[in-house]
Amino acid sequence: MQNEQAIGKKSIFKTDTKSLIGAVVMGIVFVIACQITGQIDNMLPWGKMGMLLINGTVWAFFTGILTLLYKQPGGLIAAEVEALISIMYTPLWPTFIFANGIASIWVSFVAVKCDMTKWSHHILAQGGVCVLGNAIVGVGLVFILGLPVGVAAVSSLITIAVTWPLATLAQKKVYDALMKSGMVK
Amino acid sequence: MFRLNKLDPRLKLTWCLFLVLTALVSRSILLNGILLGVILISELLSEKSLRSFKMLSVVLLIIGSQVLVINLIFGREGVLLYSWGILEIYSGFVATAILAFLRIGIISFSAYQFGIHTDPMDMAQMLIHWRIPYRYAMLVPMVARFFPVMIGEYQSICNSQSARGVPNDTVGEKIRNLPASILPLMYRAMRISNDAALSVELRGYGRHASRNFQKKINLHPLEGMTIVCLIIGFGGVLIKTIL
Repeated sequence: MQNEQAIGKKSIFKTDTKSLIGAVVMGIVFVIACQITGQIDNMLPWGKMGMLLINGTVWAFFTGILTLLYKQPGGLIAAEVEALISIMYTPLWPTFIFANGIASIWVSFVAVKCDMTKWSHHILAQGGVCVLGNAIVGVGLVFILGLPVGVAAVSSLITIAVTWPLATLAQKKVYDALMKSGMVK
Repeated sequence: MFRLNKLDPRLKLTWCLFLVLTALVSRSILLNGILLGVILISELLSEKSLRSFKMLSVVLLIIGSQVLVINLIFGREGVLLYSWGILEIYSGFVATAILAFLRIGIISFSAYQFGIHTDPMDMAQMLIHWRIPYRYAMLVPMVARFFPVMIGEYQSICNSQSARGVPNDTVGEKIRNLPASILPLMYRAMRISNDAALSVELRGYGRHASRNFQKKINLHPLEGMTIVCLIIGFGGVLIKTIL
């Protein structure tokens, strides 16, 4: 609690116990949400072609909102919990470790530079999350799943094009609601 | 008797990383096949069955079949076997799909094997040995502790929604009900994490610089030598691949 009060409003760090444990528990919620949306995607035509659009949107939203909520290292912990538990259901887990980590750090940097009150701030934050995250996963599609480069590139571009606006919309709405409720100071 | 869960977590992690990195670096189907065989044999020797891999095998078979179809349609390696309109099938798709299948098998099974045969407390101790403060290292056992709790919470939310008569059969209904199941779960997660944080702080979590463990991990000299051998082995694979 003392750490939380001592750190300034614009700090990238938040190391109190509430943030650390909150990040762990919310990381598990992140995993559950990704599992459910992954199953929904697999029932849809694009999921059968390997493009997880709803799952990608939920991934980007959770990566962004948890980093805004718990800052660092909480955001990184929540993201890495999701990446490490994904061992149980996808061989792309090595790419998720890097994608989640880099995406979370990006959101932290944007949150330090911007006050996250405007749409442009959320567009910038989610832009980095979606582009960096999907680019890294695209590399995994080529090197781990052995997909042709063109297929991986098209898959990543479509995923970015769909998830960026949807995740931005969800992040802005939920972040504003959290601000209003006093959970984010 | 050989038991994977009796081994030091550092040896198991090195073994897992050796398998993952070798699978990623090597393009040899033979080497990848041998590595996958070694994982399965070690699991058989330790647990006397491959039951723990059953669910993951089904997932990997689905992903593997998707990879095969995508490589069949879009693969351009090898010689042209068949052409019909824009559809062109090249001979290289079989080798690419087999290599990808072996690779995803090694990457998934090795990490899964490490996860199921390593006690979370041992992982925490391993992180403490690497000078990570125990406030952070102890988050690993917390994940293991809270995972079933949160699954239970999610199932209770789903049961509540069913009792209210919320339809959840078709894909459209599942998508529509997503916020109705995830947002209450987020709220419950916040409540649980606040309670848990307060409880551990009141018990002195983070007050002292170090922490005692009931069972300590110790790296046996033989395990240390195995770690060195695995690192040298990976170096050899890397050099052979580059040359």
